[in-house]
Amino acid sequence: MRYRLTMACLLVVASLYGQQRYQGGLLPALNVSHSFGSDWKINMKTESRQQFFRGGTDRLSGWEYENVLTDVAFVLGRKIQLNKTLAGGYMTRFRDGELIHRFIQQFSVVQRSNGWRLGHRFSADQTFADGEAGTYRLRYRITTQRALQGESIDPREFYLKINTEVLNEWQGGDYHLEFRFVPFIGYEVNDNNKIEVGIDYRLSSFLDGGRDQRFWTSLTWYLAM
Amino acid sequence: MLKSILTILLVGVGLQVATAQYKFEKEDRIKAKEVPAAALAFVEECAFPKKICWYREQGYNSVSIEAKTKFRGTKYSIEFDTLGTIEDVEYKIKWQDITQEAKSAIQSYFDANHSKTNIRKIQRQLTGPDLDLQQAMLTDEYVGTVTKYEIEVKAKIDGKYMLKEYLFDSKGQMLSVSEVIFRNSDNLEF
Repeated sequence: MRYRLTMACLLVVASLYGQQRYQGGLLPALNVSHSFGSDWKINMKTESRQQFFRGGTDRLSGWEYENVLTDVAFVLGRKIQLNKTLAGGYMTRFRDGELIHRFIQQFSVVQRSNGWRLGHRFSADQTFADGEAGTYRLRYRITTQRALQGESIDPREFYLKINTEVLNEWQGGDYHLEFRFVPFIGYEVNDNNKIEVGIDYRLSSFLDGGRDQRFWTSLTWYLAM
Repeated sequence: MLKSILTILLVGVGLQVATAQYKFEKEDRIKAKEVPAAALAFVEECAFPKKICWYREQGYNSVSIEAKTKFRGTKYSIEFDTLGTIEDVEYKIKWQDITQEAKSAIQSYFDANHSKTNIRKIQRQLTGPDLDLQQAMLTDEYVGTVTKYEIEVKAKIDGKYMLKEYLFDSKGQMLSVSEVIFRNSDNLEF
């Protein structure tokens, strides 16, 4: 126990004095889904990452606009129980003129409890790009959602949603760990139409003695058709 | 690029707001001063030690006023009409709190109609004269009140899992059933 505590303290200290980088900007996304049959759903998500500023101990800091990347993903899901869904899909990433391919598998569970809704997402993905070793990730995300007026989220009401995610990544023998924390304010136009705005905070590289922090202003529109 | 995305988003949202067909069922938190005097008096007479939260629930054709509070570890929901006349009192109970007679009848009903059931939530629904309802809440003595059981069940029907909400009378006879429609959860899953 004492050893673990010491190691944790050293890790924190190392991350404070190690190489630090930060990056931020806008993350607009459109998430469209369509249900068919009694249990099937197809989901399409497109997301664009627009960098507005970057900096760190090893680079010049300041405002710097860059269209970092654009993702387009299609995921096919099948409800295997009332609140459990298995899904798999494919994502294409456009980055600096190159094409990156990602295969996605996920299992999600949605729970309700006294005015709260809780979503668990367990997912795995495999990413391939020309000239790079394949990247393999295992992720777990927990999402809590609560109405800001009343006990349930009704049309034309605001709500609070918080995502917390852990990402384990392996690439060419290296291991990386990333944490994401995203508090959102959402607005429900109706059950099939929601808009969410939040700060997507990502922390990584602390295992290597550094600290990469990214702050994206996330703006997502969920549409179900 | 950025401007275009924002413009598309805003125009789209505007169109959706203008054309969407709303399910007109809404629960809003209200202040005690907005509550009908009769409803306020009923709840004050109960002298619940904990805070009372008031809500206005609006459906297609009806509006009701609801008081929610916690008393001796149980969450109570007291529903009134807009004039403050009490409609019913609901609170969560356990399967073992149901009378043996009703339990047997309810279990038989489930066994006969579904291949698999999983009870998610049980609420006792009480109706009756004001004083008897107050007495029932404060002392757990059900004299002069009518008990019904609202039971939310995950059931397998024709090979498909569904969430159903049943209403049974005090003897376990089924009065009504409705299917609980799951709210869209894309923003929790994807």
